[in-house]
Amino acid sequence: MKHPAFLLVTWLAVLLSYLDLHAQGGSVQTRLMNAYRGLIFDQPGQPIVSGNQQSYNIQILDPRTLVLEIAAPPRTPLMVQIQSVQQLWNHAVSPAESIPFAWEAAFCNAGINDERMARRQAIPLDVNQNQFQFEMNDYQSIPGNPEPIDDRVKAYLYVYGRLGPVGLVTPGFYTNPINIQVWY
Amino acid sequence: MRTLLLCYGALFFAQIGNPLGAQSPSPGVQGTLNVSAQVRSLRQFYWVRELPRRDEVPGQGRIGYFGGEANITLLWGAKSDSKTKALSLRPNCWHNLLEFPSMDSLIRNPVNVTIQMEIE
Repeated sequence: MKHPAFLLVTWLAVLLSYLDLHAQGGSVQTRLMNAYRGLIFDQPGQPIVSGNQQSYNIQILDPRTLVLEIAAPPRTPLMVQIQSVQQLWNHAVSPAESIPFAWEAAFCNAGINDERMARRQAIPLDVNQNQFQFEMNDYQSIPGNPEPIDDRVKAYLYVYGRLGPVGLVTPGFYTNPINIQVWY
Repeated sequence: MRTLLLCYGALFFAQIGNPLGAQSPSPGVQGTLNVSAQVRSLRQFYWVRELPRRDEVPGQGRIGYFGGEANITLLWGAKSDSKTKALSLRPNCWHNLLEFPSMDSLIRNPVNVTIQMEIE
């Protein structure tokens, strides 16, 4: 027979652990800042041409870069996984044809609540690094950094990349999904 | 009492030791985004007769030739202007078609050179 105090402390410890995890889970929010339109390599004046062997880059400062905003309390540990194959595919032709694609990503967890400020301080990951962990930092009180509206600070994930070289492929629409998971 | 402290201590350090929390991490958000690119065809022109009709040239696009080392000169004319004009193309790069908006025909094309024209 266990001592009643032992049981009480054990249950208290288990309960506190659960509540802590639950609280973190309920207060972490993520959203895409530039709407749901994906990472699109097309841009006016620079069409992607079959067979020209050129590569097309979207850099982090490019407005086409995808921006994912994560809001969470300071010190929240997060893990981000990005999954994608390294080609864009045209399934309208048989057999399907592909173009090489390498995504890149960067993140900023410096306690900056402004996306444009954070972008300049973002830390790039290795090309095609598909998993990384970081901890939300405290709000950084510097000029131009908006004050948090609740107990959460923001972190930003930027996804961009390189397409090509474009070989002699059938003209058409080439696409591929990227799966992003944020774990807390 | 020592047992109690050990027990609670083990639980405490188990939580600290896991960077993602006391238990397995929970997926906060899972989303799928599309990466896409529209690939266009490349129109290749070897001779004057293969230039597109005028209404196919909206004034945008580019022209170039690839694989050579020296500049080439194209002679071209426009219906609105009887004078023949010369156009020098640097190799291995594109030239904006806006530079020659009234091009109606290539009058002479260097032999064994592939001129690539792309029309948006």
